[in-house]
Amino acid sequence: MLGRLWLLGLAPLLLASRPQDLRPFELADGERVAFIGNTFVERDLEHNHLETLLTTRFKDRSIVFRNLGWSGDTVFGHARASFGSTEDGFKHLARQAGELKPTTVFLAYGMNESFEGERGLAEFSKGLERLLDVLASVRARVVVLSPIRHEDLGRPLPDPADHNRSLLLYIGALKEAASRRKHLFIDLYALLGEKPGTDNGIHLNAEGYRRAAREIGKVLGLEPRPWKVEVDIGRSSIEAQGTRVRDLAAATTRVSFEATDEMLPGLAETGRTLYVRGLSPGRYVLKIGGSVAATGGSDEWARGIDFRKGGPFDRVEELRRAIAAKNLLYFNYWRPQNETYIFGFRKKEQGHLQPETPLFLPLIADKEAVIAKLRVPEPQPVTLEPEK
Amino acid sequence: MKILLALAFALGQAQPAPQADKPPDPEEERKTFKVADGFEVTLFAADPLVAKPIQINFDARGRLWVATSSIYPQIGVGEVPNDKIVILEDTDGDGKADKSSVFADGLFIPTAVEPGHGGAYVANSTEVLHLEDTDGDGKADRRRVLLSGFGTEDTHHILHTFRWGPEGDLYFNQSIYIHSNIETPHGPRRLGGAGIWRFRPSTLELEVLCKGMCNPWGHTIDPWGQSFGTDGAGGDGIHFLMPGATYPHFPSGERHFPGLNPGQPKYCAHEILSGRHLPDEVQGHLLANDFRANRVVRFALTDEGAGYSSKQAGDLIKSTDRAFRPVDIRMGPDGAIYIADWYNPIINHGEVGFRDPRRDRTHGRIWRVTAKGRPLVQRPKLAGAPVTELLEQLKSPEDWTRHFAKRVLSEKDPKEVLPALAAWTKAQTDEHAKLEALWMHQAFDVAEPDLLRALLRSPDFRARAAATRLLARRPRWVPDPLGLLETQVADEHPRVRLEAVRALREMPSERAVEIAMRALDKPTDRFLDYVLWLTAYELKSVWLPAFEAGRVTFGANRKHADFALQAVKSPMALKTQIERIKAEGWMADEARAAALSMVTAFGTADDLRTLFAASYEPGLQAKVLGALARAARERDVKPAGDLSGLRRHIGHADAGVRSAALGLAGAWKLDAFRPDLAKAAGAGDKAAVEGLAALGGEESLRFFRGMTASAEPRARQLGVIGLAAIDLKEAAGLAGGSLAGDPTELFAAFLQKKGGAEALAAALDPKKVPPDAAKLGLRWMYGAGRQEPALVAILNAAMGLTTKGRELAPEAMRELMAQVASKGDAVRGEQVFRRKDLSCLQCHAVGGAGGAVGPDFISLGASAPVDYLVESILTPDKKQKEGYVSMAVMTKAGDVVTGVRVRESGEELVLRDAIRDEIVIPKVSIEASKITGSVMPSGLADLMTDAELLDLVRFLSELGRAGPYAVTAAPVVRRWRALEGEAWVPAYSQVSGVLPVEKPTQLRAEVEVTTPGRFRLRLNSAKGLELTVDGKPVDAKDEVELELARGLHVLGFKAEPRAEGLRCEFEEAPGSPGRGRAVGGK
Repeated sequence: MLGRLWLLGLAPLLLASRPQDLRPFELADGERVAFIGNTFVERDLEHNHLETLLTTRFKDRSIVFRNLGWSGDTVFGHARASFGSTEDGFKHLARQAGELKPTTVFLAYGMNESFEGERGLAEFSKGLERLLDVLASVRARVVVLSPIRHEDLGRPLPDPADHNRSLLLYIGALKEAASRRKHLFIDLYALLGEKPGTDNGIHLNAEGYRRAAREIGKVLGLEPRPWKVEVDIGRSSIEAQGTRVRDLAAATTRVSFEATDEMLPGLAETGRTLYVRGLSPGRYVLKIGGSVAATGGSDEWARGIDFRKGGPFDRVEELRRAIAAKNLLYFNYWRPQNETYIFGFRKKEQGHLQPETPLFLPLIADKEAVIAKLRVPEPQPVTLEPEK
Repeated sequence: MKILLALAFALGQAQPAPQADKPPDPEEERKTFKVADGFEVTLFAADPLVAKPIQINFDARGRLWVATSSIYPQIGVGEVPNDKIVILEDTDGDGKADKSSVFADGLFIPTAVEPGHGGAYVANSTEVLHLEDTDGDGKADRRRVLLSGFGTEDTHHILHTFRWGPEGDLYFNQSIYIHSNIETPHGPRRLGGAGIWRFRPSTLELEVLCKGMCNPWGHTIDPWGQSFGTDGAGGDGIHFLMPGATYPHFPSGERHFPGLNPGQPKYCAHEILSGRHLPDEVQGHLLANDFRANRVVRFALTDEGAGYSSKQAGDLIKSTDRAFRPVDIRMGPDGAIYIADWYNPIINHGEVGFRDPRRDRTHGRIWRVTAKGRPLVQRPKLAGAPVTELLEQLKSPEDWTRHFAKRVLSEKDPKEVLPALAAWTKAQTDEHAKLEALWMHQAFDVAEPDLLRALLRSPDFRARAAATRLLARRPRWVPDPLGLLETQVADEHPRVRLEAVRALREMPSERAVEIAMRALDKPTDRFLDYVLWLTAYELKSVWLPAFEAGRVTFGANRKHADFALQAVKSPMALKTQIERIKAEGWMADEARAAALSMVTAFGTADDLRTLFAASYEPGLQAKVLGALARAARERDVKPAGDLSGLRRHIGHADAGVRSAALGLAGAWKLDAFRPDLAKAAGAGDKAAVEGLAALGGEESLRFFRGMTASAEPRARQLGVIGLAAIDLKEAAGLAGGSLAGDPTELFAAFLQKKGGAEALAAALDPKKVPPDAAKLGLRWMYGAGRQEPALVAILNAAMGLTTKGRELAPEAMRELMAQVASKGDAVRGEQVFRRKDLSCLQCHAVGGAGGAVGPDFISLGASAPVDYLVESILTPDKKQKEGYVSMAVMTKAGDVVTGVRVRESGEELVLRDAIRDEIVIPKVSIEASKITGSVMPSGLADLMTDAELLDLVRFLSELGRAGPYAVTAAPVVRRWRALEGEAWVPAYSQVSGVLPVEKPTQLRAEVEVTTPGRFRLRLNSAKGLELTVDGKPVDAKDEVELELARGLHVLGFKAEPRAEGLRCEFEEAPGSPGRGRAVGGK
């Protein structure tokens, strides 16, 4: 909630220069989106909810997503230094940004830097400015994500009070830089609140990543589209929102139709509702695409049942797994193991494997083709039948 | 047929090469084991139960968890990671695994597994995972990333060696190429280079226990909490690991603490022997895996002052099967020893391609070693045992049982354990049992100040040491930890003092440093000296400003202050030293050396003025003038004011002082001394030549031109050297006519200048270069690790050699390998290896004697395939060993320096080449530097006939393998000095330990005694030998007993030619407390 208010607060500023930013966030066909940051970004490789959400939302557009997260990274490039200096780490990031030419960047820094407290703040701002300059030089639209709050999980884990005070200072710096540069700023500290969903206080767990994606989606104006179907058996009528329906066959003990959704449910908790009035008393099972979505009594169906399972949900999970597989391939492409031997100062020994690296690209493209297919909803048979 | 033979040779297998359709039989492998008397080896498990085991660890139920990887070393393009954690079980207790189950799959080169907390901790490339089995079906169903951001720059260096510590912390290691950046709720933690991490799962604290070693796949903690390490790529044997210390090969750090057995082969993992099943004489010994030479080796560890000494004590297993690769080793629940055999003819990374088909990906064995005729230990039932029973098990004689009793207890609900623990603790009288109780409290994070205080004053020094270390980690258990440490730092036992000095570093305060230095009031040794230095150095920012402000005084103890000041090189420390010199004159020895190096590094013009004024101290002049010259050259600083006092030095009777003064006159660019410089240069003083060159100008140019026209060869050379500093091209043109005599300095002068090698190559005519001059030039280049193909070609041509084609086609390589097997002769090969013109020993040691620019060859043949050896000689720039990063540095003055990086700090880069042990380059003077390929010269093959090359390769391929070139445990003297004319030149024993003596010879060897006592020399024959010890004649017998004090001692020999050569062993006499060893190195 706070996050929305904050965005509204930003609105007058944006209004002055880019009124289009008041419209929902959009990714155009052909965009290249990079997620750049620290552990927050790297560990999302396992979850990918935000990318899944964006993929389902822009289902008819070809968009390349690249996760460039690196655990322990800072705006200075600490984690990317390898054998070189921190400065080399920064150059590495800048070079990569130059090669990838992202059109949109989600940027997540500040967690590591904030442990330095107030004395590190000025240096952080300087590093941030330099990084934002690099992104500006490739003309990327930037969405700045704040660190999350350090969750208090009780002792013996550390008391995060001091660290949270420090985090707010760094978040202030992020916010200020974003606003000055007219970048979108998303305050995950506020949005995810006191219980962001972590196992160690500072890194999101599976549930936390899901919530983060949902909150980011909301700020971007990508709220779940309602999906609602109302069937009146007596009148043999059907009304649908969020999906196109056809071939309704409505009897008092069995209802079926075909539904083609506008888009996949981007996140599993995006609820869907079906109302069926006029069923004979009894319990009925809803299947979508052959997969059980919900079960309930005839009176419950008349009042409408919310469900979060069934074909489209299976499909979005499949999509998320395909995205994870694609991202893992990309990870092994841009952060190959044995870099010392293949590209580094021992490349004379195993440098002959360099030609293997580009071979990842067609594999990544294959996965992206799979993703492109999966992100488009297919017509699904919907049936409501008595429970056996 | 020829090809097959060559391959069989290359693989070095006793049995025929494995065929795809017939898996290698473990029993065939077992038959190749030569097992120490009294022990036997049986198979515990092999493929298909387990394949490619990397790490093994037991759980409290006695099940063996195995981390395995078939992906290693490099994932295939598009390959989906699916490596596994396997659990092996011996359910019927017959010593053979009868059950194998996959606990987790889908992993990405998991290099470590340690069971705990309902599942296991697993190293998964960039991550530490905790995999949990929540439904009890034996398979992991919950996956949590605990830590991420570990580097993967090299998969044989990635996170490994998970071990639980006695206090409930999880330790794990990373190796030299790994750069890790880990976010924890306590802040980011970073480590670039090798080291051992300590992780506390309950609090998620992550710290570095110690840094360094090259590829440290070995860490054990002994029953008293002391840590030991082994290095899979270093040559120091067993390392005694002190908290916060830095060991060799770490990329940065001022001082690296060496291991306990210099000159040893590389060891992958080790274990401490313990328990009633094993005979008394091996209790507490270490078993380490010489995976390269297919051996498992025993080391006897004994107390030596604050630390330990370690001695090789024979092989437990030695195999001729090249694929026997012992990589991990653990004591088991039955008191037997379990060894993970990675089973692979190919090891490592660089030697062969990642995709080489000879790399085995499907086999593996776990061996079980038992002592013959001794009963096994009954497997303790720990899982599910009541708390009181578990507590009693903390007194078990088996390390295994105590360790797992602690594991089970520490994973229980504290409410269940703590009351019983409190009662049990009170009842204990044994000091070790009390220590176990203390560790249990630490594991639960429950303060036990009374027990802590009691153990700090335990009658057993080992308990006092362990309690001191615990105090460093739990200072809040007591109100005044520093007060307690004041007592510990004055403890009668040096190891307690060592722990106290390290503990004080954990409580950074002005008082802590003052207390730490009090350890100097009792005798110190190399261990204590190191930690004292380290503590003063690390706490510099805490105490130095306070010292400056007069708050830290070290109780007016000059010795304490001096030690601390020389530990921290800083402008403030220098200022203090300068004040001292002003007021009282020069201080002694080490403090003086530190002062001089600080003056060089950051002395101001005022400091230099003081130093110059104090430069007339007899015996010190050359050193002081040298330091002043370096400050001028490297930082362009000189004393303010009148410098004419230099004349007194220039007129000095000692040639060394004169040269230093002349060099300084040049460095200070004092034109007034030009006539002096010219005069000395004309008389052949090289420092004067350099001084004149530094003055530069037309006058110098004319002078040098004049010299190049001299009839005297040496004068001509010096003229060219001087000219090269002013006009490289003109000098190069004259170089060809100035190569008579020894032109080494001339070559060096060109090669150390930017563009010098090219200029020389362009100007020299191979037909006019004398062959001897060419030889000396090449030798210098090889020593300095310079790769200059154009110049090498010219010098080779001058010697009548042609530069050979170096790249071998696969067919030619096979042919050559076959010839190595059929025609190569290792005895002749050793002679080639020892030849002066090849300079092998200048860079490479065998068993610790020789240069340290490249790897020690002690077990080379047992690990490196023949084609790798051939390529290393023909195309060395394609090979590179970790720990031997070579660099090329260009200084702002235009000098070129190359060498292997020894270490690097904020201020200095230290390189080593075959000529100089340490080349210290101030960072401020560096214009550019880069990591280059190998410093191994590429033209060596040109100096050999084809037959000699075959012999050399055959010799190298035999090193470390069973036979006459195996690694010997004998404490033999390998490094000698032989008198040639007036100079003592290096000489090295043959691999057998024998030094050939072909003419009447005077020899010296050094031995270092770290604890005084009686020692024994064993000679192959005393006949006709004259022996002296520290210059005093000693009656030479085949066995000589000596009483030796701490320090270096020189053994002198006078020998007539002797067919048997000279072989000398040096070791402690039986029953003597003395500890010492023959000195190795260059």
